[in-house]
Amino acid sequence: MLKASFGALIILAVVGVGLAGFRGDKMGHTPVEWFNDMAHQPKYEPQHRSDFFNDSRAARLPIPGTVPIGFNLPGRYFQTEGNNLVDGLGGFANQPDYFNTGRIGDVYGDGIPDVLTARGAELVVRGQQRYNIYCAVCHGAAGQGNGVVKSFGLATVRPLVDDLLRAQPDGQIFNTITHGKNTMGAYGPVVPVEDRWAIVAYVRALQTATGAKLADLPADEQKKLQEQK
Amino acid sequence: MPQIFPRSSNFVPLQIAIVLGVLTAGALGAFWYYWTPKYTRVGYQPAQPIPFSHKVHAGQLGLDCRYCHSFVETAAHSNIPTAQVCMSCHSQVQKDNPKLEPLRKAWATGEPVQWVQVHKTPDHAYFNHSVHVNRGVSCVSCHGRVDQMDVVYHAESHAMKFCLDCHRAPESGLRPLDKVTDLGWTATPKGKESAQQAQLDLGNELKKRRDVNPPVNNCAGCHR
Repeated sequence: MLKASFGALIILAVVGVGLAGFRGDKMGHTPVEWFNDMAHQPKYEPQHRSDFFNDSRAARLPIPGTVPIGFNLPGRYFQTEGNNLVDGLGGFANQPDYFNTGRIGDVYGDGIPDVLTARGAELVVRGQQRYNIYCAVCHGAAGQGNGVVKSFGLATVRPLVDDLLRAQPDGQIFNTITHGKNTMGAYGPVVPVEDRWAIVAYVRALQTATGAKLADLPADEQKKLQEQK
Repeated sequence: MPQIFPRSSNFVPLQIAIVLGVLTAGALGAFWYYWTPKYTRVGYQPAQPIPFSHKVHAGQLGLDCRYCHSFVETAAHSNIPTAQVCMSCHSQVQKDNPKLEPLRKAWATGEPVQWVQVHKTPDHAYFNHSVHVNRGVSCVSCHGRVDQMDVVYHAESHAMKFCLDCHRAPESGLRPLDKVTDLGWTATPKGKESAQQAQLDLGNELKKRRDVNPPVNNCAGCHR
């Protein structure tokens, strides 16, 4: 009797593990949680769905015509605490000034905005880092228009170091990053304003580097290169 | 009058007790094995509306994690990209692939693609991506080699012990900031030391330099 029971138990265990697999195995079904201890709370988390709103988004778009707290609408509702002009990632970026649009009135401006030039070389380094994340995929690490995606069917990638782009004002390059152009998508929703300017600065650095002559380098760098020859 | 029960039936209660005991132990063992937080979610590999391959995008193409998860450095939540980000390339690359139909629909209508969440910390733990990424904790520490996964699965346990192991010894995972999204990176050993020792040496130095001091005995650090 006892033996038979143990036999049955062993068979049960083997069948159980056989059916359920070892723990940590890949499984397509939702994990079974016996005691979920408030692991799932009835609150909205970022990018989660909502059954309350018609479009099932928990994240809401601003209602048309409303002004976010701290946002200055030009000429109206002026708030002294407004942060949309502050150089920071928290600032709202749709103020129609040069910093946020690359335009002065209807024309593209040139030059990196004053609030950023104080960052000096650090801005270019930041630009290089951001360029390598967002731009190099298509435009290539050196801006030659030969990024990895090109071999996967993205036929028209603009080199960034040709004469046409050298002649473009900074504001126009900024505008292209923000809104995209031709087959290029908009990067404004992904890259914050400061970083877009940093990328502009780095694109300028790439252009300078690809057009550089030996005489442009500092004396010790020239010497190093000549020694390599 | 003969005995109704044979003599051996004196042991039946004992036998029942033993079998019940073993059965209970087995049930507890099964519960411990499958359903304690350490393993509840490990291996979870849901099917996604689009069979997106991280192996192709992050591994083969070498896209930086932040190309899509663009706000991981500034936000607590590491965002799932919008259809706009996908369409940066897929407006042209594979633009007629039937697998991308949900994406094209999202792009045309504005209805988001319903991606299934794989990794989850319990709602009572407030994990902040930016604070980890900006101190040099790599994506790979919690998400595994996503760049080698065709279909992403939950590779690490995300139980409280998992967090605490690293909070108590942050040197085991700290790396240079420019290597945070380089999932295959390991510390270079100096001389004869082991790779593990190289990581600890570097980690200790970075811990000191960045003043890394994660909450260990302070519950409110993560449970607000």
